[in-house]
Amino acid sequence: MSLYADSAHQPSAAIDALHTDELGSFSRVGTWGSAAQRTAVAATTRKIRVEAGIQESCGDEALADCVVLPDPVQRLVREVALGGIAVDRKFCQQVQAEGVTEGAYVEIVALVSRIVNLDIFARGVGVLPRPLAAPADDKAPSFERPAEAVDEGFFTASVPNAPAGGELAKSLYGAAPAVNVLRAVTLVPEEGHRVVALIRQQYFPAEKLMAFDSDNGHALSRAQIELVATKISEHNKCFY
Amino acid sequence: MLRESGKMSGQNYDLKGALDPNIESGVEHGVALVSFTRAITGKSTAELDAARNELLAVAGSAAVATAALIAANFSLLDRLANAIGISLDDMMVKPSADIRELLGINAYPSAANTAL
Repeated sequence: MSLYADSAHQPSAAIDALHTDELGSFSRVGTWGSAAQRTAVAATTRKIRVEAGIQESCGDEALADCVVLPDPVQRLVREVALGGIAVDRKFCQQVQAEGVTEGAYVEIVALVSRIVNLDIFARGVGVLPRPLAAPADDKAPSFERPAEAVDEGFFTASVPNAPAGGELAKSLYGAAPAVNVLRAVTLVPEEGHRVVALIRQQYFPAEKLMAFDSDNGHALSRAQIELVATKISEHNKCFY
Repeated sequence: MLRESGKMSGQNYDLKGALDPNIESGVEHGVALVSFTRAITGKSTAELDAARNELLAVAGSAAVATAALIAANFSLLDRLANAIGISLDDMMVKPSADIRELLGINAYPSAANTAL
């Protein structure tokens, strides 16, 4: 059954499958967060956006309390949920100074950004956010940091393009060099893989990003797509 | 990216129309798309419903789903870029200089993440 069966505006079967998999990812153990912590991060993101009046509630806010998130995590989730506009290097360093590891910082940013992705789409096609599942397991995170990750000048380390990024870079980015934003959360490769897959299917694959006559099966022209993208990036005051 | 896509189709779009739905960008159904995109991030569900219906009327249901998907995608990308401090790729710095100036993008806080 389609994830968006109650919408009059259906995405492709590929997007439906991708979003179904995305929705399930929040309630499973990650690299730096347990299933309960990741569920709480996603639910807290929703709670903040509902309270800000920019999203409707689907009634799963109670999952925000399935584990207590420390204050610096709460602040990070709030900032990113509302666009991340005020986040700077000092904020990132302060959150880490208060006990959030670099890997956890990256995983939280990715989780918040990915649940917002799902919720903006649902709102756009006129349905409520799809309900989160309860934490699926109580496994311990792996806490694995990829040896290939280096400081590329961002707030946090990332996996550079091949050859410096080695086999991990090839598995993340494929044959073509990845633009900066595709490398953003690769300090946590699982999140990196997810972000690359989302952008590949929702927008364009890396090798087609600069090919303005390319077709990814969208129902809008490239100019129409960029019009929407520009307006969103203005809202989020995103220089990138 | 909008300007470059226009070059491919021989069009010279008014980039200010990407931000203001009262300005005709020259992109097909541009006003309806920008109104919908503005509403999707806004607080009014009535405004969003109206904008969605307007887009549906001129461009169809598949266009509504795609516009929602692109809005979602860039809501994701913008958060990653802002919160991880991603700099603009070197190849984009010079070609985007005039557009950044025109649209006031250089004043965004995240501009500090790119050496200009």
